[in-house]
Amino acid sequence: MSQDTAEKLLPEGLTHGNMTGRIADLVLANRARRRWWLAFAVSGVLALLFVFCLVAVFSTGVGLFGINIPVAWGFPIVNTIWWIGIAHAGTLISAVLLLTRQPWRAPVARLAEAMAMFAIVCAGIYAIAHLGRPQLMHYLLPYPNTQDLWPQWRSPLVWDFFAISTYFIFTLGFLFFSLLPDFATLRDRARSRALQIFYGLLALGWRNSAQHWARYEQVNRVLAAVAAPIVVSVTGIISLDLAVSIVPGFHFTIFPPYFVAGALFSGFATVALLAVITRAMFGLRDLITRRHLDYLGRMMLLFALIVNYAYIQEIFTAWYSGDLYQRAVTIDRWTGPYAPAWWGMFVCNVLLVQLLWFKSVRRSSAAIFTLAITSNIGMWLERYQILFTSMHASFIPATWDTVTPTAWDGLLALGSLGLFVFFLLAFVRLAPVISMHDMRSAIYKREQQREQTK
Amino acid sequence: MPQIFHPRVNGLTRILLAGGALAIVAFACVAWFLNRSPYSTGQGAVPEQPVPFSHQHHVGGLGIDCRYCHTGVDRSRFAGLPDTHTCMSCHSQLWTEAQMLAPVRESLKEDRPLRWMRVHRLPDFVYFDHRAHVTRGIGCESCHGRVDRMPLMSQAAPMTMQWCLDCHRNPQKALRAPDRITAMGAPAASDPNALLRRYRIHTDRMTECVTCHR
Repeated sequence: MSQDTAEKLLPEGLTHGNMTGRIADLVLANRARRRWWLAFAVSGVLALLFVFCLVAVFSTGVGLFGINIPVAWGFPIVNTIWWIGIAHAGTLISAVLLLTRQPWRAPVARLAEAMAMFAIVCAGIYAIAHLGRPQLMHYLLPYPNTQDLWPQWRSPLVWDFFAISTYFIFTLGFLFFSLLPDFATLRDRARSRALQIFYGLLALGWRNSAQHWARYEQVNRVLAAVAAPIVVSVTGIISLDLAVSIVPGFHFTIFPPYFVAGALFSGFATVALLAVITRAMFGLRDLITRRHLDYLGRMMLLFALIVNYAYIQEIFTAWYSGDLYQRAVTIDRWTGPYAPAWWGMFVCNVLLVQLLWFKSVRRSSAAIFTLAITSNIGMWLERYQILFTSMHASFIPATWDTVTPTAWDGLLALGSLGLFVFFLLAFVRLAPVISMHDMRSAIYKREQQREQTK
Repeated sequence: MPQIFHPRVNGLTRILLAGGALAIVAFACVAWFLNRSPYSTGQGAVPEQPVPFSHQHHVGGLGIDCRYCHTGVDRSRFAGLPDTHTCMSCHSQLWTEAQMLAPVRESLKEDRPLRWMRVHRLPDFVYFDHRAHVTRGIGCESCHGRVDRMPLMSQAAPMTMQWCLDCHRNPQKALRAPDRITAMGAPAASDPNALLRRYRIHTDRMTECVTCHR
């Protein structure tokens, strides 16, 4: 990246002082904006709906969902995969872009990490909700018990459990760790005693000393290096839930990279969506610039193209393998009862994303906003059609059936969106939405470059 | 700006961190021991019976064979509990006036069975068959302990799945000759592998889920 580009990522006249003031004041301001309260109230109601649906599912059973043989997975697994996918770009942005020293990472990294955190919460809850007997979830843990039971290591359900819990613990640690210096800033700027103590406890005694920073950099790099394989492995493992089976439509070796690319595509779309909303909601148009949207758009396009390649491979393999059942599934996807899902996915993930080739589209917040939403819908439809079309008409025609989701499926999905937004809104009121210390180092680097060119 | 926290908070934080770590370890230890303790397994529990029947007296003292009362043990899943007539085969002649035996006489008179309380209880999802064990060389004592030394019947074994599997993985140590099944305190078999062949026990199948969960 040229020095010129790096220069344009930061507004003119941005100093350590005024940047810190602006971002910290968003958190420390006594009264939140009305828009925030409105969004918080609506998402709070939806989060309550989510809790209500969960209680209903746990007390009545998974029969509430529209899942039955032949389609035994349905919405809960569609949504688990969808949420996990969204979480992925968060880790990629914060870790891989850190390791590759991308300067445009600074203002969107915090958003991405928070998004990853709350998306993984939704994914984890969905994974538990789809269990028939969630009270026996601890059977997935290898703990010394009086039954001599050990997890079945050949079962993808056990891999899932470890993938999701590893990812949850990692994301939580990484997010909190990157917040430490910012919590210390908030502690120092807070005026009321209660806030000072609150942020003081969260900052864990951060004193901004050179030693602290040396350790911070060290740990940050180690965590980032650990994150890179996690990004690939978690969705890879989730995709193996499907790929290790022999069901035509699931049984496909390309699934792990295909799902990782899809995950990153939907994740970047969600980061772009949140970036557009944040810059409008908090007036941060000069910090999260059109140039940042441009980069996010490019990443979306890159991963969309990889996903499109996987679609082509899927169709090609169905033809080339000569496998009757796989061909039947592929044609059923285009013409069967779930065809609208496939064509909807095709429009969202294949046709509409091509608009991102145009720079003017990538730099327009309205266009990025719309494309981010359609991409997420497209990625949801992708998982939906994979799960439903592969199962509903497989080997034995006598078991063929069309399964429709129930109202509970829809309400829980709506509620999970509400929960995600609710957590995110609470987060932006409690922690800086842009990483202040990353911005400071970006400003410092610009000053250094200016010195050199003089 | 004054300091937000007193210097003592440093020490307090360390104590809390160490305490938290210690609490996790303590929780794990308590859970581990509690899970195996008689409190959860019921080992050693002595349920109250309608008549305080003494196995020590009847088995150890008089030498009555287990199958005299538990008649189904080699023919069905359930070993069977004696009906009142079995008690009365002796007690119509002996101790006919004993206060302790009043419920037995009552039961005979009213034609209403005694409600014996089960001592060794397995969960409903376990398929257990006495016949399969007794006719394949597993002595009563292996699971029920030295019944001949129990004045009141108590649960001898922890009855956990781990305990079942210990024997299913390695049944040789419990095997006996067919004429020693109901004997108490019998010495271990001299050639357990010969017994294994004799009873045609296939140890590789004995830890399959479906052996006990059907």
